[in-house]
Amino acid sequence: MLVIRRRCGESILIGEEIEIQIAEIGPTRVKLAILAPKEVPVLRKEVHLTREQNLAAAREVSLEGLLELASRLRSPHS
Amino acid sequence: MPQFATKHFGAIEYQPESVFEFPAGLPGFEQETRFLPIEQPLNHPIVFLQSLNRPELCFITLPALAVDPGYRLAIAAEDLQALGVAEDRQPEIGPEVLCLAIVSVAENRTPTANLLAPMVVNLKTRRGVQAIQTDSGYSHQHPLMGAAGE
Repeated sequence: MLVIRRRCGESILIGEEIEIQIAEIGPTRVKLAILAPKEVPVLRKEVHLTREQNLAAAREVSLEGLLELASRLRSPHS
Repeated sequence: MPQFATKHFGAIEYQPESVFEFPAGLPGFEQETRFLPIEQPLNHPIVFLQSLNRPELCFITLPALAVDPGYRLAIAAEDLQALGVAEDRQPEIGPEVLCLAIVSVAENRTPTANLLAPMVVNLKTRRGVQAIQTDSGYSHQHPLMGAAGE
């Protein structure tokens, strides 16, 4: 993994067409300004993870596992 | 009463007023905006969220508090606004909002719940969002220990 130190206002370039600028540095977060071609999806990672998780949840249902899950959830807590 | 074909329960009738509306859909399912919650005593505390648009799409969810009794919401300002609840504080699970975590149940793997991005529904308006809680520290694959453990 490439690790680079940057100051506020400085940029990095990824390829020819993607620029990421450090727009603001706060105490707990930084604000990034991202310039990328329209066809390049730019997503917060949590959104991507949630999307993948939603797709997996919709796809992978083992009914057997489900009934087992329900009964085990009931027994230890109630 | 309208009828609808479901994935796990055959054709069912439902009350139109029990439908949850997710105006923005969910990540990966942007077109799915209407879900019917289905609960069955046999599967308690599971809540099925059946899409009213696609019969084959039915999410399995658990109340976040059933997964983690200490669960705390950290809903972003824009999601509070989309929910139509007070924006200066987090809503209370139970009286104000329903909070359901989508569960992944695959064969031969520990089931997990997405506590990072729960389905939150305003109980007054039945309008919901999948609230991605960036700063919450919760996992999108929280293992369901009660289910896994032996």
